[in-house]
Amino acid sequence: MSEFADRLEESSEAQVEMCPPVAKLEPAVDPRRMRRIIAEDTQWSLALVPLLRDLCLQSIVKNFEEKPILNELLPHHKTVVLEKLSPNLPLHITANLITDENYWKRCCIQRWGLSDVSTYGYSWKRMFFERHLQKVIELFIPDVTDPQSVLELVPLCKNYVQKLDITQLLPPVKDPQKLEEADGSDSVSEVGFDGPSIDHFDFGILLNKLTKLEELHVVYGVKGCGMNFEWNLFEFTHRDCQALAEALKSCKSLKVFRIHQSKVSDEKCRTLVSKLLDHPSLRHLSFSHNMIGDRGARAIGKLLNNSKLEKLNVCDNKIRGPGARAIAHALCSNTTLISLNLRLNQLGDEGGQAIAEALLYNETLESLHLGANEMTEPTATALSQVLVQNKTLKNINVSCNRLGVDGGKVFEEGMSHNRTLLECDIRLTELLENAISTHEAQVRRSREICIKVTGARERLLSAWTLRLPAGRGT
Amino acid sequence: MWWCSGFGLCLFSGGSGVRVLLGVPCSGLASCPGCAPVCHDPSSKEVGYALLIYQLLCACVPLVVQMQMCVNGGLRFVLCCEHDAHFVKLAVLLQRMTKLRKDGTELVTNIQVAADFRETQRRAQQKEATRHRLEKLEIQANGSLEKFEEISKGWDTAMQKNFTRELQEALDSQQQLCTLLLEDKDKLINDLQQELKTNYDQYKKDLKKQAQDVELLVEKMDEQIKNLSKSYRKELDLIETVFDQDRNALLSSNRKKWEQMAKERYDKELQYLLQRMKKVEEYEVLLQQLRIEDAEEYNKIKIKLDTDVQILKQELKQLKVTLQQNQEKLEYNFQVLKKREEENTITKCQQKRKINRLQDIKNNLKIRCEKQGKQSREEYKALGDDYKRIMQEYEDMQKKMRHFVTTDARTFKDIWLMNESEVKELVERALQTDRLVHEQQLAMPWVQPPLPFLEGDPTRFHGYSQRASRKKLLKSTRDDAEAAAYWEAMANIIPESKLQIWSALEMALEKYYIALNDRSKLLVETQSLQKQNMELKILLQQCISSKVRGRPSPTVGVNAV
Repeated sequence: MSEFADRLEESSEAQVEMCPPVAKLEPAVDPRRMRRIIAEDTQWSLALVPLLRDLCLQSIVKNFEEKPILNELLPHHKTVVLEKLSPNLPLHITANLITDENYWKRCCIQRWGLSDVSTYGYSWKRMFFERHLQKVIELFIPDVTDPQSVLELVPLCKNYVQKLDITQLLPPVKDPQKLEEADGSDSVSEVGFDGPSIDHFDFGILLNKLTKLEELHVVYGVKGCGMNFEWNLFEFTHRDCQALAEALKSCKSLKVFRIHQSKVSDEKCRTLVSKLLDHPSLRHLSFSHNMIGDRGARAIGKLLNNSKLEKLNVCDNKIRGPGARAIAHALCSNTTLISLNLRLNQLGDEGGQAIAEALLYNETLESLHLGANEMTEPTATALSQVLVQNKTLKNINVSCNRLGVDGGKVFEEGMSHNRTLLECDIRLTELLENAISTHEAQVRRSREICIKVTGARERLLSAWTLRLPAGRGT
Repeated sequence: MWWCSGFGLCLFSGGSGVRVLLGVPCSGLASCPGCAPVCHDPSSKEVGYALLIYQLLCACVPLVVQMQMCVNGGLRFVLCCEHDAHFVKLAVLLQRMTKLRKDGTELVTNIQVAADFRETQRRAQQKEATRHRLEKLEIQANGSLEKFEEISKGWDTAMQKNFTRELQEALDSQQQLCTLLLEDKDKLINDLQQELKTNYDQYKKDLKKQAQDVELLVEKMDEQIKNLSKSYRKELDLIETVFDQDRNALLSSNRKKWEQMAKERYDKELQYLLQRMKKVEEYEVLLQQLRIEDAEEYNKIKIKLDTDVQILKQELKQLKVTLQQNQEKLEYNFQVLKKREEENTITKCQQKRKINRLQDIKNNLKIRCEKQGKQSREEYKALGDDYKRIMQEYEDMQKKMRHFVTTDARTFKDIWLMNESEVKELVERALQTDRLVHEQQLAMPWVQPPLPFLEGDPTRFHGYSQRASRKKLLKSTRDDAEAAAYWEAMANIIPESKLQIWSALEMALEKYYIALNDRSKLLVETQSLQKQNMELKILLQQCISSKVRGRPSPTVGVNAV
């Protein structure tokens, strides 16, 4: 028995290298040659001459680049070949031929290390192609990189790419001489010189070809520029805007579009929105961390009722009262929007009241974020009215607004009549002391601030009490 | 006791059936009243359970129930907290976990909210500062504009100064003013730069703060993850202990069962073995007996069978003979049948041929019949046509006949009248002749015979013609007889006696005539002779005269012959 155990130990050491037995040539070096039976290796066979089948499969693996034979093989041979294929094979051979997830897993791990596949719909292949395409676009330098290098990828990856998360877009390279000139003449001379043909990567050549693309996130800026910071690295020009808008219009399958931290101004917002009107599939739109003002907000308001948007995020922009009024006006007649995020704008009481009034008519909005919007008591009063009347709102966030003690009272009053709200965030609204003094459920709301399921529980209890007597009666 | 529901989260399973941890009621329950738990067997105990669950739900204590498949395919939940302390512990733990998660999320989001708040504050401050700065700049600009105007005015006054000292003074004051203005501007610039520096510092501070925030965020998240993983581990441990206990209990009970069954099996096998041995012995004795009996029986049977064989052999021989005979007979029969068969085939052939022929004939006949039918139809048609035509002709004929009858009657009447007149004439002539004969030849008085029919002639004929036309010829015989009598009377107008008289007279007359003829002949002869005489006289005279003159001409001599 002890001998056997020793052998087992030996074999586990030997198992580290998992080569087929044919490759072994030096019996003295390889301890496996000294053994009669290698039980732990599933591929080991007693035959001294390897099977022709194994040789063939090895040959296929070796010459896969010249002669990709895969689908003609039997299923178990296929798995053997796929296990042995190198992840460095050129994409034009493997892309549309290999569907095996394990192969693509190896490719991904070899390239980026361990990563989370759950965000890619649990498909390693999709992950590989999406990240690959993202890398190519992010490293695209206008007028230097050949657009063909991107277009070549299209037939290979268009069936797998569903989401593109572009975290940076490089600007064109400037001659150092011209750069000096430009610095010297304080950007006036820039108008004179021809300039590059495009300012950033043009999505127009790509988006209409990616037929399965559903999600697009874009940042017109450079990641990690450090001490090389220049303003022109973070510029979203009108030309870019025009090209992007056209590209978005041509991409009929797009569901989610996010452009953030790209200095989108009113004009650019209007350009984008004008092309997105009546888009057949767009559901989520995000303009977070930009510079959209009231005119841009008006355009967005128009878009709300000319599209099927379900989720709109315009946090951290410069929307004031008039812009909010425009959005509120659109909300009155809107039947699609479910979530609206207006965090970190400057709506003020004018905008807050307008939104609240709109919510009296709206019957679809479920989630509303009004955090940090310079709102005060009048808005709280209007919102309490909403809490009483509205039956669809489930989630409301009014944090970081000076609602004040009196506003808090009114708000509590409205809350006590509400049966549908599941979550209400009232942190840093200066109504804490007031809230604590009300009855217990309200205390829970104030202290924990995030209130969940209380409404649901109450309803459950009412249902329960209704049913019990009936059961007892029979 | 069980509840129909779909209001829990399936967290783990184990033991017999599936155990489900009924956590916080899901929000789907609220929107779907059909999912609400329902007590199906409401006795007092059940109601007690129901109240217990009610209270637990009120306190947000997750319940543990056992899920079983219903008969109708649905799921039902069986409460199992009262007899399993571990599950209750688990339930409490789950509640704590929920709270922990909520608190952790809150802690993390607190930082974000605080950052938002600071950002709004900063923006407000920034706004305020900008406004302030702009105001200051405007005041400064206004002030400096005034000063500048003063200076530019000063230049004018300086230009009017004629004395160098005055000019010097003016220039000095101007210089002073300029330096003042410049100082002001410098001060402003310094202030702004100071502000910029403070802003820069603030920015750096903010950056630091943000970095700290981010660190804090990460820290808190790490902490939460740690806490959560710790409690998850705890939970897992608890679950594992529960499972282990369950498993151990199951294992021990199973082992017990196994041992008991193994022992039973051992006992039974031993018993079976003993029984088997006993039986084997019994069977051996039995076998021996059976062998002997079998041998005896075998011999008996053998003898009997030998005799049987001999008898059978004889029978076989006989059978062979009969078989031979039968074979011959059958062969003969076979030959006969064969011949018959041949004949039959021949006749069959003939019949077949006959059938074919008849078939042909039939076909021909059919064709002919058809033809005949066709022909007869045609004939029938033709005959019909003929019939029609003949009927037409017949009618025509009748018409013609009627016409002819009338015409015939007319001609008949005409002929009749003609004949009658002729006959009357003849009668009159005959009567005339008779009268002449009587008066002249016989010299007898002539008496006129009665002539009744010579009166009323026309009426009579008229009646006849009318009759003839009316009754056609039906009564012609009577008429004929009358006519015949009439005509007879006409014909016999001269009676026989008179005829005899006539014939006698005729004979006498003929004689008389002959006599007359003779006399006339004689007269002629006499006349011719007289004439000859005359001529001869003339000739003689001529010859007398010619004897005078010469001889007579020959021609006169020929004519005289």
